[in-house]
Amino acid sequence: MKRLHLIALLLLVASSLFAQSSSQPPSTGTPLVPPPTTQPPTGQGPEKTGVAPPAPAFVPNLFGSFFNAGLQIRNEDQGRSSKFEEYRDVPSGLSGPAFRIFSDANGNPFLVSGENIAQNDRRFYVWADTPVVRVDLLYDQIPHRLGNNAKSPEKIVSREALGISDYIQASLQNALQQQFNTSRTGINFAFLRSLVEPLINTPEVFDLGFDRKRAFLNVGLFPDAPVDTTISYFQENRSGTRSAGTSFGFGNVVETPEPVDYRTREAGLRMEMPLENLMLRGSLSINQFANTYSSYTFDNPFRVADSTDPTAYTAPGAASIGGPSRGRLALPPDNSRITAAIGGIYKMPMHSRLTADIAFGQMCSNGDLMPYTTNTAILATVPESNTLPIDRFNGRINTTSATVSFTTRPFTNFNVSARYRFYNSDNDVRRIEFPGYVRFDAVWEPIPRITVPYSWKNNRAEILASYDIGSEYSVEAGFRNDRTNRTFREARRTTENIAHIALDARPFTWVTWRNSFEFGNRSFDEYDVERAEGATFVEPEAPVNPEGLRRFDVAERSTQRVISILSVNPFNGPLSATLNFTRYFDNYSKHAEFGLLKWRNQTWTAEADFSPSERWSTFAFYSREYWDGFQRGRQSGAVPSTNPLDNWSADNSDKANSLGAGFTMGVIPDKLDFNFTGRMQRVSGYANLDSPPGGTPDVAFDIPNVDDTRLWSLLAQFNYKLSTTWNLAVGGWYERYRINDALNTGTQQYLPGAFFLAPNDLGYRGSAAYITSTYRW
Amino acid sequence: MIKADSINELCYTCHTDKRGPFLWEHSPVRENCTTCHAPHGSNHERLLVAKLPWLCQRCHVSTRHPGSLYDLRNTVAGANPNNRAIEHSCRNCHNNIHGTNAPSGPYFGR
Repeated sequence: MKRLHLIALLLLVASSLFAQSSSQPPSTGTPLVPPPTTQPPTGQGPEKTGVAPPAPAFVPNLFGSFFNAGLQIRNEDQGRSSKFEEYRDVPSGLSGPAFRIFSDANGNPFLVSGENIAQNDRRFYVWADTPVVRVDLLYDQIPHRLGNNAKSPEKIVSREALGISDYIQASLQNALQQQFNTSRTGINFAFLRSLVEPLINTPEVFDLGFDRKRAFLNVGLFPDAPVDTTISYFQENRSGTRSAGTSFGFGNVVETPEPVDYRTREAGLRMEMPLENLMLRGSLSINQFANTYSSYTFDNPFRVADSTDPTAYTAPGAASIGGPSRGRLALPPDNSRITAAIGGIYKMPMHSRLTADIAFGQMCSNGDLMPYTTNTAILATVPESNTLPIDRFNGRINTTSATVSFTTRPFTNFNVSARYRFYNSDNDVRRIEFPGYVRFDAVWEPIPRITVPYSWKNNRAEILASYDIGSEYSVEAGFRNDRTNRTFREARRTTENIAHIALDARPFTWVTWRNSFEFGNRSFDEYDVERAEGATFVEPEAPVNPEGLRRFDVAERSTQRVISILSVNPFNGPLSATLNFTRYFDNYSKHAEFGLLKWRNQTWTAEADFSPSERWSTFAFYSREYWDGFQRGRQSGAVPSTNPLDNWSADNSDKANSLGAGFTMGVIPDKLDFNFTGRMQRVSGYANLDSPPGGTPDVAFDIPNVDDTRLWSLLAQFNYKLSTTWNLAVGGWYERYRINDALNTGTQQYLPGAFFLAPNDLGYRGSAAYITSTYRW
Repeated sequence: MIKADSINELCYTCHTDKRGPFLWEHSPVRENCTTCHAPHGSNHERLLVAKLPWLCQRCHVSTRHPGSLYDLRNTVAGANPNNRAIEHSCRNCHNNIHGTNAPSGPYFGR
């Protein structure tokens, strides 16, 4: 139901709408806050790998001041879908306002600006450049509306506790007990549905979502000093809820609103010292994440008293009506990261440059562990469940990153670059053994388990050479070797070799054709299909995976990448067009029998714009994207099946068609202009499922609408210049979003084995009409 | 050409809640977020590269429920809606799939 691809487009449309409507002056021509720019060292290229990235520097490239405000009427139907304002505000009444104040008094430029300052998606920016400091300060907040009118049987007792009244829990437990005593098989969905009727008829109703607020402060000290020093501070707060899968077992999922109350802070120091032919740099950053809540609890609708039995994780059902009265879910733990980096760039003869960087980091988390379970019946009967082997977990991962690169142009038209990169993620925490665990707070499983501190190490070497044949053609060839060593994984080492060739052609000044082709192969040293699963068991367990499974992130594969881009601007005239084709293909099927076997993505894009005069211009685009993943599984009971008739396959494909067009027309030159844009996107997904007859599952039914999403948007706007300082814009827009997804659309509050929040995050029709005015000085 | 020391370290600059380290780690998650997520765009919720449960089943097709087929019958409007297929799918139970500090969390259910 959350088609983020579509939402990205929606946001793009929305941002362009607002850029032209309520939040920004229609004809500013430049953004209020220019995009972040990195600042390469003087005379050097952009090679920065291995050093912690500089804090964003927002360098204004515009002058002048303005104030802009608007009035807007909005309309939305289909019952308040959260999608309409998922990551934005669409207010009725005052919209925006926006402003920018720029001053260059005494040669010390200063800028302060704001967007949507009366809205929940507000943004502010301050920039100042003085002989002593250069300051960038950015603040923005974005609402994350994840579902309106969510409905839960659980009342929100506090941010850390959801609850159902004991009376209701007792009623349901007693009714279940009665049925269990009378006829266990009568505990079916129809029975349970009638039991929970009062709960779902009087739900707790709330909106899911959180606000994300963040601020960057970047201070460059003594800009004219020989050492460029920048200190930075970043903070982000997130507060609200999001939906979470919380469960009491196979037949009793209770989706709940998970509390989100995060705070991330980062302080950084970065220094660069340019010398003759040499630039040295270093950085230090400390990042901390704090979560107000380490866990939260939720009630079991069907139990008021804790109980346990060997099959309580399947309750409520014919086998058991046991289980806990409440469960507890761990939330992301507080953690931190510190990174120190040092490096440099050395300029050499023959247009050559050597770059080297090394960075050391450490990720840590420290926190008290919650108990094995909330279930007092387990605690009372299983002594091991009362004591944890450790009370507090101190996690630590050390990282090392090193990059050395060399670029040279030994003679005209010939460029060579070589790079070696090393990255090591070393989890050196000692393994912790647990005598067992509690499954869904329902059953103690006396199966000793041990933590697995995964580590991995990557070495990558690559070389690339290019040659320009006159000004019309250039060719490029390269090779990359990528080796990764892993602990506790099925393959201990994978090696991937990738070759790359490219050809650029510019046969005429108005034609550019760029083509690149990559092909590669990945192999592993060995593959132990049970090693990863088995790593968490103290005693080796019986095999559970089919022998032919190859997990695709470490599996042998062949890859292809093709990119072709043709750009034409016939005779340098008013028409320009671009055609783009990409194809990515990963094939695992040569060595794998189960798991992901093939993955493919193809994209065709055509876009054109036509600007015959200053009075009018028009554009249009179309793209078709295609994704396809083919995988195979085998259905088994307690032991892995060896019967090929138990196989099943899924060939899941998605097609996205996007098209749009628009034009801008000067109705009265330098006085009145009009622009119009229309866009449409449709995504269709199909799950082609298959299973041979005679085995289990025996038959498979395709899912024709595993994805089915459409988005339309229209925008029209008049801009009228009242005077050299006043501008007026009048316009309107319309959006329609439709979704019909087999796995999410139409979910009810109670379905077999699960309570769902069933929020409204579905389709909508929305529109707005607005008038905005801008004053400049 | 990413501006961090690894793909995950770039993701962790915003998604610090996923950084851990955790008591129970999920190895592909620790190594590379893009194994499951497509940060530049996706048709699926949470920018996943494929829809659940099939994304999980690209690796997990072991005995019992992970290796079972989920099809039209198990959809919301199907004859037998299944809590392993709809809404959060596998994550209805295995919610803490990025890792967890719950002692009872080797399967990321707590």
